[in-house]
Amino acid sequence: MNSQISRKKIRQIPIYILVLAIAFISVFPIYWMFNTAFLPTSEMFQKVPRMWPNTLSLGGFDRLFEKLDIGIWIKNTFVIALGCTLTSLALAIFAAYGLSRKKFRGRGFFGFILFATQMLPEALLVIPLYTLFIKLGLINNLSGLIIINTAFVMPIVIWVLKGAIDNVPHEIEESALIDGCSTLQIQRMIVWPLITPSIVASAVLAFFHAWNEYLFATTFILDMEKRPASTGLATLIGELATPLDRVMSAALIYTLPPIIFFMIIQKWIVAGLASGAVKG
Amino acid sequence: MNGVRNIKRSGRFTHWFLIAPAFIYLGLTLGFPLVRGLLLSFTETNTLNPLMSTFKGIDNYKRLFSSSSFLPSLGVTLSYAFFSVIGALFIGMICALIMNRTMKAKFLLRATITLPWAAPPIAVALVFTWIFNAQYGVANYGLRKLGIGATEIQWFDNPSLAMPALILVTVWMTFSLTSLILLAALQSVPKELNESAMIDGASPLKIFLYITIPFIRPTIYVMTLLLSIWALRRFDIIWVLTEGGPVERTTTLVVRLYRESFLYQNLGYGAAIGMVGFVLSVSLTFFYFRASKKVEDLH
Repeated sequence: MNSQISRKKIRQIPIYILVLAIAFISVFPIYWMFNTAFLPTSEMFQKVPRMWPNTLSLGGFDRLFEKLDIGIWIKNTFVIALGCTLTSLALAIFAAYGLSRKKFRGRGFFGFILFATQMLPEALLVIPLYTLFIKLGLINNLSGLIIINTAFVMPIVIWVLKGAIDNVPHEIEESALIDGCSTLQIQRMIVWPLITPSIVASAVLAFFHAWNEYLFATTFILDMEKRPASTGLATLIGELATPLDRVMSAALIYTLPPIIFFMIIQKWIVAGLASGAVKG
Repeated sequence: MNGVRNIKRSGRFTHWFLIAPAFIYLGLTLGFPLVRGLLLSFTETNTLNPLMSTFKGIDNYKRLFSSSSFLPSLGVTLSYAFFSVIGALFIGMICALIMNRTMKAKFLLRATITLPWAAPPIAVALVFTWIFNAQYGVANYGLRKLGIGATEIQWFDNPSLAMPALILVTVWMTFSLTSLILLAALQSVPKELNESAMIDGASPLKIFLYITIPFIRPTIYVMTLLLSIWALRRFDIIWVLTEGGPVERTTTLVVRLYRESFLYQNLGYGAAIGMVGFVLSVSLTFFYFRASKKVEDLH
């Protein structure tokens, strides 16, 4: 009996090694960002890389906000991401309710449109949008980025919210309807409170979709002081003027918010996305 | 009685009021530009003066299909998509199977694999250029330690290594979401099914092949499709890591499009490349739906 248990344990060993390897590979690049941010430049360029900073110093964070525009970049990114989140939710929450609750002809067609938006390469649309945005004065304007980021993430938000509303039992709403509540009242008082986790999850998805976006930002924003963090940081690559510890400190500031949020509500986001993918 | 009729009546058009804003928005911001992009692809338009365009018929397409760099960049695009999708599915599946089996592993992996998924692509690109630095990068240091690769490997500057390195970074970024979604599918496989097969003496491999895989097949299809489309669309990390180089070895259609439109100022030609990429995505989707339907019909 005892030997059976130990044999089973021995067979588990490769799996444990695999688990540790995957965990290590997942964490290491982020750790390396952190490590480099706190390394003094003198210790950075050595044949044997320092695996952790051995002196307690501010590293690249020392006068970071004076030396780089990271404060302005993050502020711009925040404005774009918040605008995108609010617009996406405002549009998607009603659309999701309509698609989930109302049976009407052409419903499948609208579902197809949502899926079709995922096939559109941003790079194809960046060209016609560039000409349109010039006409409308949206080039070099944060609103332009809010508008286009919303367009790309809203279908996903609808998808997640519709999945959540599908799981809310009809009966509660029907009794409210008979009591004379309007569609809007029903949504506000019954549906929204019940799907709060999905609303939060889709808000995080929308927020960090805009937070991460690069292509539209790099083509539509020309002024340095209107740059979001994604394009601002990209300009530092291959450029030798900024010390690497400072570059990595800035990258870390940009990376931590999404990591923290995704860690906290990962379960809800995955549940929302998977409900669509698992059902097919 | 009257009340019930009112409910019915009030419900007849409300769905249009509910869904119209979102879909009108999508029409204006995606549908309309798509049509304009198609029209632009038949013109010669300079990026510096984009409101002036001259109609040129199918000249852009002729030029594109006869250009000697078109087929190579199509090949680069397809091989990038193929290998990064296979990599993400393979590692994602292994990871999901482990998480589905042991609680301890699930706890550890769930937390750690969130990082690659959550980290912004540009930050990922920044840190990987440093990790893969030829002289001081920790990747080469690690390989030296292991006794592989004694010299300084130029990852992103070596024509034959740039694409594999790019695929590696891409798989790192995409395997975790793939794995979390596959895990959600695995957890929907009824436990009784596995147990009864085990009692009948089926090996774990057989259970995986004949029970698990068929059960989660729809999810695998959807993930394959989504990963492929994302790979065909991806621009940010490719541009920041390699700018399509060295010697065009990582120039995907999207990189070519960006270069033509915003560095060489040929908006019309860029739009034509974009349409080709879009047709590629659409035909891929069409192919997947046909294939998945056929397989479903067989079972």
